[in-house]
Order: sequence, then structure tokens, then C-alpha cells
Amino acid sequence: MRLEGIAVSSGIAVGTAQIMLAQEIPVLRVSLPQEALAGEIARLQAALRDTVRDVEALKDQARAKLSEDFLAIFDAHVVILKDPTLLASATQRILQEQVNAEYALQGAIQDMVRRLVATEDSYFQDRAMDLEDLHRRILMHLAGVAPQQAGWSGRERDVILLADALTPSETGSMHNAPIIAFVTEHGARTSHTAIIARSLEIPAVVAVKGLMAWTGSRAS
Amino acid sequence: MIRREALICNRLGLHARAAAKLVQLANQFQSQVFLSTDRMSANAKSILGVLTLAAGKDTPLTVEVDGPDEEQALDQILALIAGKFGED
Repeated sequence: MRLEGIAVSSGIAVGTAQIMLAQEIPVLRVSLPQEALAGEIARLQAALRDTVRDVEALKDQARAKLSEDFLAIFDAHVVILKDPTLLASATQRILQEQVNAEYALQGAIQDMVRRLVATEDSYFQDRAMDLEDLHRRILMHLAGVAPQQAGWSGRERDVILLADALTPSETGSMHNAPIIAFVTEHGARTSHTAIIARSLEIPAVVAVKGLMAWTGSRAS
Repeated sequence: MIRREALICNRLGLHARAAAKLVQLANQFQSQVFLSTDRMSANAKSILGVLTLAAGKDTPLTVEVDGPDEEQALDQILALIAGKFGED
């Protein structure tokens, strides 16, 4: 079996493959009575504030290790979370559709992702992935669960991480992990995985078609 | 209200980091700031709006500022764009 992708950071690494599966958080549509809507908006605002705090904390943790280029991505995320159009769009959905904050937020984010992907520019399309990542963090705060950092027991050695795609916050918290290379099914030369791999000076291959199907067949 | 033309001249265009700098700057002023390409217009205080413009290298932009500190805002925004957002 031969799989090919784009080498975004060159080098050679030999280690143990570890597969990282994406966390999916299901979003339900809940119809709410009129008097509950103000509370939903407040809940959404609080979750956005908490997510801003998370991102700032991630940036602080990564400060010593990562390049200015990568750190600036966290600033971009803070600006996204504070964007008046995101809150306005989600708030409007809560009020008009009389629904829960999670469902309204999902609609607002999906709308924005569609608009970014429509720009037909790979750099901007990567921002669509940033939004998915931030979306997951906001949902965790709405659910009252603190977003988890990638957990490493300390026993792992020389891990080659295989994933469908890595989110900016996943890559941003990886400088402490024993990872010596990345391989992802998605991504591009300008994606975060590529930037962080170059920043950490470890090899990375992205856009490997069929990677997850292949790892799935090997695992079973 | 004042308005000026500008050209995006950094290699990567108005990508997330450059757009974030521009939005952070626009948010420091009371004035309303709008950016337009030949296709659409966006609130410069909204990162999503600015990213949706998808202004790559060599895109001409119209910067429109309206408010009490419009001259200062326009000067600084034009300087940021002309200075390639501190990149390349």
C-alpha cells in the first residue's frame, strides 16, 4: 500500500503511529418559550467570553515554543470570537426561530463557513476549519464542559500522529507532546498543521487521500 | 465621511492574520469603517466580513471611514495596508 500527500515540512521520522479521531458534539434543535430566549442569548455571550479566555490561555502556553507567525493565529481567533456579526447572526436565530443557543450558533457558523469556502482560495478555506474548531470550543462551554487538551500519559515515545485533520487548538497544544511527525488526510501547504510542523521542525505530510480509511482497515 | 483607494500588496493578501490586524486597528476608532472590492463591501470591524471579501494580492480596495476620528482612522488603516501588514 502506498499513500501519497504533500510534504509540507521535510525530514525523516520513525516511530509509533497513533490515530487521532475527531470529537463530534451533536447539536439538537430545542424549541423554547419566548421568556427563555433572553437567557439563551446570555448563555451564548458567556460561552463566547469563556472561549476567548481559552484561546488567550492557549496562546500564553504556546508563547515560549512557537513562532510569532503561529501565535498570531490565536489573535485572529480572538477577533473572530468577538466579531459582532457572529453574535448578531446567532442572536437573530435565537429570537426568530425561538431555539436554543447551540442550534442558533451552529446555523450562524455554518453560514459563515459556506461563505469562506465559496471564496475559492485555499488560505481562506483554511479559515473555515478555524471556525469549526472554535465552534467546538464554544459548544463545550455551552455544555458546561471545559475543552480538553490532548491527553498524553507521559509514557508515549516518538509518536507519529495520524489524523483526518488537526484543528488549530490541537496543533497549538502539541508542543508538549512526544510527537515526532504528523500525517493528515486533509490540509494544504498553508494549513496550521504545516505551519506548526515547520515551527517545531518535525516532518509532516498533509492531503494524504485515503489515510483514515487505510488506518481504519489496519486497526480492525 | 472620507474615502480613499488602496491596493493590497502583501503576498498572502487579506488572510486571517492580516485581516485580524486590520480589524483590531479598526476597532480602536469610534468611526465606522467599511472596505469594498468591486464585488462586495464589508464592515472592517468584523473579521468575518473582512475575510469574506477574500481580497488576495493586488486587489484594489476602497476604504470608507465615517465618524469623529475618521481622518486618523483612515491614515492608520492606509498605512497598515501599504506597509503590507508588517509581512514580507
